[in-house]
Amino acid sequence: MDFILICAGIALFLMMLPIMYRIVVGPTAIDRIVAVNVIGTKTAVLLIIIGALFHNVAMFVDFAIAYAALNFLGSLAAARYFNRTRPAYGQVPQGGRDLDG
Amino acid sequence: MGELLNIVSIILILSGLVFFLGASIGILRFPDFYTRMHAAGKGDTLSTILIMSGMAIQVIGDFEGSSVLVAIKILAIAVLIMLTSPTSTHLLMKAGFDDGIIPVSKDKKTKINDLGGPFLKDSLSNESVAKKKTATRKRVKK
Repeated sequence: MDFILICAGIALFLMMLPIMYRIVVGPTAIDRIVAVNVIGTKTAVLLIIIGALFHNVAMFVDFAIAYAALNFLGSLAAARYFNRTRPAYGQVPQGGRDLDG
Repeated sequence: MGELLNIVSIILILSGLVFFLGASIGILRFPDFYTRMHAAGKGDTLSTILIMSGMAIQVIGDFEGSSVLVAIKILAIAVLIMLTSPTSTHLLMKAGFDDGIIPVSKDKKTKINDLGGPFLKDSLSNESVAKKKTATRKRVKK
């Protein structure tokens, strides 16, 4: 079973790499926030798998709960921040209208 | 019994990995902010729930006294993510729509205002007032 858990963890990490690419490249700021949100959720899963590998899930599950809750809070704050104060492209959006004015 | 739980948990974890592969490829390859958001929201939530359920079954298979509490905690994380991930996806999508991110289209002429515009109340009302003014001016000129 340890072999399958190690394979699952490595596969999770390898599938995080395209999302890392989206964080680096992503044309808008909200793209990057979505990618960070996905990686944060998967990190909570990865923490559980690491805990099962160390035969100490009872400790790691608390880390995972805290990580998932903080991840949700961070993406919520970023969404509220980008909703009104700052356009996603870093300038006046191309819809033809200044959102602040 | 232990073998059966093992097999069920392995199947759940592997199916979760398949769904996460779909989400990852979708985030990498889709052409648009909204389509990438679609891939991220659904695939991420479902794969997380599946892998968490598999790990909970894996933990509860040990049949120790404290493992039931740990399994309940893992399922609580799954429920938490099932509640919070669509919420944050919805809020980020709304933020992007209000910021005027242009959706992909075949003729590349669709603006955000063609879809009903941003949800901001005051700017929408200002725009509608301006439209009415220009319409009345045109009528007066005619």
